[in-house]
Amino acid sequence: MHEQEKAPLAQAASPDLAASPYAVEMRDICKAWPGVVANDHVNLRVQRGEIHALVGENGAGKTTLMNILYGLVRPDSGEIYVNGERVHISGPRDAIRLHIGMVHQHFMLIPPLTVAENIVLGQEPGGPLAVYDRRRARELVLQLSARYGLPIDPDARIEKLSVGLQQRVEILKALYRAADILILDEPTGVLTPQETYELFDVLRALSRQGKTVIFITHKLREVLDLTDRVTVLRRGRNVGELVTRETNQAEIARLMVGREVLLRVEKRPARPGPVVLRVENLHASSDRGLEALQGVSFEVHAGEILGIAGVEGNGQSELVEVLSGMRRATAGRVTVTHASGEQIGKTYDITSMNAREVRLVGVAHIPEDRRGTGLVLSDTIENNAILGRERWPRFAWARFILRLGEIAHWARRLVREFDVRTPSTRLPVRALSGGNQQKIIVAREFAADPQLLIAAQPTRGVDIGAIEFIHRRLVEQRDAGKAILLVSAELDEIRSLSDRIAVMYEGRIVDIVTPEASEEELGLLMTGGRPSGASREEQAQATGDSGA
Amino acid sequence: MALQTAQPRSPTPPALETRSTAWLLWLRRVGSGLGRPLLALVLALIAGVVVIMITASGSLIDRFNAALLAYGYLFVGAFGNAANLSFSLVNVTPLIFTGLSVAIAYRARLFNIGAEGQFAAGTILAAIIGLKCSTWPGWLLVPLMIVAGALAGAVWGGIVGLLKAWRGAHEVVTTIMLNWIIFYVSDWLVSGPLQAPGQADQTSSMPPQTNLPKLSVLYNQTLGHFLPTISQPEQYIVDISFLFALAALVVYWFLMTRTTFGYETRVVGENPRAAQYAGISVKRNVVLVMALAGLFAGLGGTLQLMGQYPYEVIGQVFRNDTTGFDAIGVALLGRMTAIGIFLGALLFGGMRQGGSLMQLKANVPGDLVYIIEALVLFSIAVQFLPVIQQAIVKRFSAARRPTVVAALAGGVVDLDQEPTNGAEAPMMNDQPLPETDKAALADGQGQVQTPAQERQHQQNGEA
Amino acid sequence: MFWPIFLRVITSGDLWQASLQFAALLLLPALGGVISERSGVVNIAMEGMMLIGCYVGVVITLASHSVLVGLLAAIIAGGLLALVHGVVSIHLKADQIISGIAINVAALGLTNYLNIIQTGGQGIPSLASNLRLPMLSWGPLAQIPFLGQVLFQQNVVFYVTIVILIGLQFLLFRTNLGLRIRAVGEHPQAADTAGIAVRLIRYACVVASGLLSGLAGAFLALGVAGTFNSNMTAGRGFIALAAVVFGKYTPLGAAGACLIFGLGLALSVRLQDTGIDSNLLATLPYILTIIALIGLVGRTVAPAADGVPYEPGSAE
Repeated sequence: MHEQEKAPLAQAASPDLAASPYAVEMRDICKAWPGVVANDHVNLRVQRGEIHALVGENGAGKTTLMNILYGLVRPDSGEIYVNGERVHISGPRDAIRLHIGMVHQHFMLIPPLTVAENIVLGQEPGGPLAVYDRRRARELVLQLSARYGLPIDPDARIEKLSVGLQQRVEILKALYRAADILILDEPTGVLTPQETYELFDVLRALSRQGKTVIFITHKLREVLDLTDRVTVLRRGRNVGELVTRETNQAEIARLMVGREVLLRVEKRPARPGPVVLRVENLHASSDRGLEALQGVSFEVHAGEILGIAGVEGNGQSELVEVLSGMRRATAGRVTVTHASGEQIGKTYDITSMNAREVRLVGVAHIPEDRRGTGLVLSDTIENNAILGRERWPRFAWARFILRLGEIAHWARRLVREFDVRTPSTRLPVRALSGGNQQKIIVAREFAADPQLLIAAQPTRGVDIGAIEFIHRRLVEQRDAGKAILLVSAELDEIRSLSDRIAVMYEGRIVDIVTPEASEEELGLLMTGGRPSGASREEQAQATGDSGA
Repeated sequence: MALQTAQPRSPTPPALETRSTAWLLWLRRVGSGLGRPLLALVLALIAGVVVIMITASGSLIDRFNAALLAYGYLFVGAFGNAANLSFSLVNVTPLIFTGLSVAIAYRARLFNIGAEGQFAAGTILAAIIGLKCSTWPGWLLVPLMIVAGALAGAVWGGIVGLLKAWRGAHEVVTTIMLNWIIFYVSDWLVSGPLQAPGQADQTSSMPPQTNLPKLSVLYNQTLGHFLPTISQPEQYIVDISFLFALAALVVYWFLMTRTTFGYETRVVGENPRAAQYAGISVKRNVVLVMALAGLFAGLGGTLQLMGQYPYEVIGQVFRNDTTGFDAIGVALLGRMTAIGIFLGALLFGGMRQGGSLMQLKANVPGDLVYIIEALVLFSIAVQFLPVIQQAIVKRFSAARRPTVVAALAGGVVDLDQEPTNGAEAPMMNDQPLPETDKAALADGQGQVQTPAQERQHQQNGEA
Repeated sequence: MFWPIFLRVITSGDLWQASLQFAALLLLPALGGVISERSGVVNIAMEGMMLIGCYVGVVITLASHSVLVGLLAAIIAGGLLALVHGVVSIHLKADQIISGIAINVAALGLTNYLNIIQTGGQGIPSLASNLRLPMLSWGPLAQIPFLGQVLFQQNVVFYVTIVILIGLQFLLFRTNLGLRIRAVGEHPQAADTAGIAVRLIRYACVVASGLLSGLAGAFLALGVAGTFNSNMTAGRGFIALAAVVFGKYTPLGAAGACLIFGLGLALSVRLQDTGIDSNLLATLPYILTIIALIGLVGRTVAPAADGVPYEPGSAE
């Protein structure tokens, strides 16, 4: 009911707002965290009814700016105008009152509650002291979903929904609160291409209905596809306000990073040696007990990079965890064969080894979640430099007494060779930037001279400089004869680094293609289609299935 | 700091530990290691003054004097003379053991509320052995009792670890349950199977050959042959278990800072996911850590039983004993470091001792000590100091080296934005596009240098 | 020897009357624990809040010569102590377990300290019967064999407890406010972005836990014991904590747990004639809880954000 009660209010207010063409205007916003200036006199002007892109690299201050607009973060200084009026937003409640809604990058949904409960939460029919009216809530959600063409089951529990549907719930949640200004923070990162297209359709429809959309992203193609105007941030400052029609990808990219993005990595053709990693019919369960890997088989040769492409959540994380000894396989076999040039050494069955044993066999692992998995943030660089190798004779006598001098020496060597910017190796890793944190992991894993290197999302959330650095190191390792398994959600990264690309979909490798495969082809494979190596009929059927 | 340059053309090492950085790091360590507990203590003592003043009578000045007098007796009672100090050390010994027990568990981010129970378990098993084998010679019985008591504590703590590892049972709940189980078991034993003939709810004394010697007596018998002897050594009641406690502190320090066990425990505590990644078995570590925690506490109980009059277990003693809870304060106040735990135990043990003199002479109930203890816990939990510290550091040094200083103050920092060597480096990203980049832009093919490379060139050029 | 006595004890109304009384005494702080933990604040300080309730209840009753005033004072005292826990753990974002321990220690120290100052160590005399919380008289209902004694010869607080139990279960799972409380305990950021006052709800829930514990203290001191003794709660707050976990963080579950523990306590006193030691029997509730923890509720999931302070600015 809230939706209908509040919508007229907003409309009634609109005539005298015609004075300002801007739904949102933020002036001279400043926000500093301890040691970091997130927003440095940032200005943002969003016209009513437009889809406005807010772009910038990771850490450019986009999310901070939008969190300020939504009242989650208080600015140090600056002014905010909504529909031409100066406003003070001291919490999400103020933002909601101003008809601002936000879809966060990490969804703000409560997993054990139902869709309807999540949507009406905080504005339940009847007010806080009333008995929860389940039927009414259901009805309201169904009305809302019919009105905006966003079908959803109001009684489903959030934890059972796909990511795409969860995002839909988030949008409905904002619309239920009568949002006229909708902020979406990196909404496509977790979506399949199809889901992305659907989302764009929804957003265009909302825009046609007069809603204002602020769309945070760093994917330039999305900016060009969807938006009307663009504001570019770099390191917490404005560097451009553009009309989408009048600009192009290169210009935005240059503004974002201050120079051309280098996505093509210089590399020689691979000279693959013997098979190092052999995965046969691998099965494994996810944390939720679902079958995440359903018979995965592939091989990685010495001296090649095998890229695993796929939309996130199709079993890549579980695959990496099984290979690195962090998760038990339920069936199948994984072997690692040592190789030096064309010489084939001993073969180890690592299927049921734990992470320590796998590492001893010569497998290095750059985990996808560097802060959550790869590092102990509160500990020093020195201690993080031996994580997983602390019992190696080099670092410990009798596997028990730490050789502190050797560890300090080792850490300084890693820091030096991998250009980690830090004043001291005794500093907690927490104090470093994302790029430098990642370099510590990369250094640690490369420096152990592995046979096989598993790199999962190796450049996620790091700055361009570090990305290039890590890419170059990966190719160097390949040329030094290592076998490399690269898992990345960034298709560009996969295509520019890999010598072969295996595409994963729903726990299976659907195909292994060359990096010359077109983006369309890969996109189709990533959604379960099978364009190459299959007959036309199969192909049609497969695409049909995925669409259904 | 001998740096070996692996690559001949490598630039100046970026990880240059400058003198001032090292100093700041040291300052931070000392500041947080000493400053926070000290501030907590001062705040608690001030609040204690307020409590006394509220409940005392007379004018404001009288009340204030009463408070000062009370504190005076508290201090004198605790550390005022050698005899009082030796009484205090008797309290300090079990506090060190149980404090270590709490601290070890806390390193793995486990809250050991069960130190008292483990303490009791150790005491009881040692008592059983002491009473059942009372005819055995001391050289056999003493080590046997100590080992048995330590193991009993280890088992009682290890159960907590097992329940946590296997079933995910929260240690706060299970330790509390196990505490009460052992308290009742102990009461059953002293009123039944182990009851001393003709006595209510207590055991007989441990056989005399197991009583640990007093430090003063031991001194007279050994060093006293060469150095001045202590007269009337019997009045200094602290026994050699205090030396065991000091040894335990050293063992703890070594384990935690110098061994893979300490390293892995820290990883398990700080980031279990990283432990899994490193191949450290979280479950095994949790069981081991809790068993070790129990071992220290059990040892504490055993040594107290063997070291101090009346060398027996009395009914209901454990449930009314607060050592296990005080130990949490000791460990937190000591910030889990060996030296800190020693100082914390000295403080709490001393206050316990001084409290009785305070009650006797200044007419301020000894329970004031509990109130002070609670306030210490509050101030540690709240951590006023980091807030103040950050504000000060920010104000005075932000202008000069904002990133490093903020990092030292515990902030989250992007050091990339402000490398600390090479004055030109911070400006890099605000400079106009370098020529190479423009060229690269033009044809879209050329290899672009990273900032790191650019810096290398600049530095090489300068060199 | 054992079985005849056991059968006699287990079928006596006396046993079940005592069980229910013990259970109610445990249930009040347990309900406090449930509501606090549901909102995401760990509370292991029910023991201390109860103890303060005991002391204040007795002292104020004696001072005012009114058990009603004493009762109210006890409830408020518990609430105030809980407010301290709230400020420390919600506003100052301190470690909630340390804060809880501190409150327990403070309550023990403060009650002893004041008691000694006030009575000079003599101790507080027993309350006259008109200054105690009365048994409720149900007339003919109380005469029903067995059931009358068990259900209709109880202290007035017992019936209050039943009402609170049902009310709390309804509040948490059937009302909009309950939905909000659960949301705050599961995912405070989500609740905040949905426009819910996270801190306000947490404060309310923590204070409620103190009010309930204070009431339990009054029940113990003014209803059951009729006096104040040092540390008279004797670990009941901790058994209540066990009941919270055992009962899967729901009011009805906690009630079931308290019933079992109450029965254990009542049995431990009455089975002494069988030659079973009362001390050993007293371990029963704790052993049961551990067995339940590993068997029945090993997979009990605490509210996701339980014990995690909420920091509004931490949104990424």
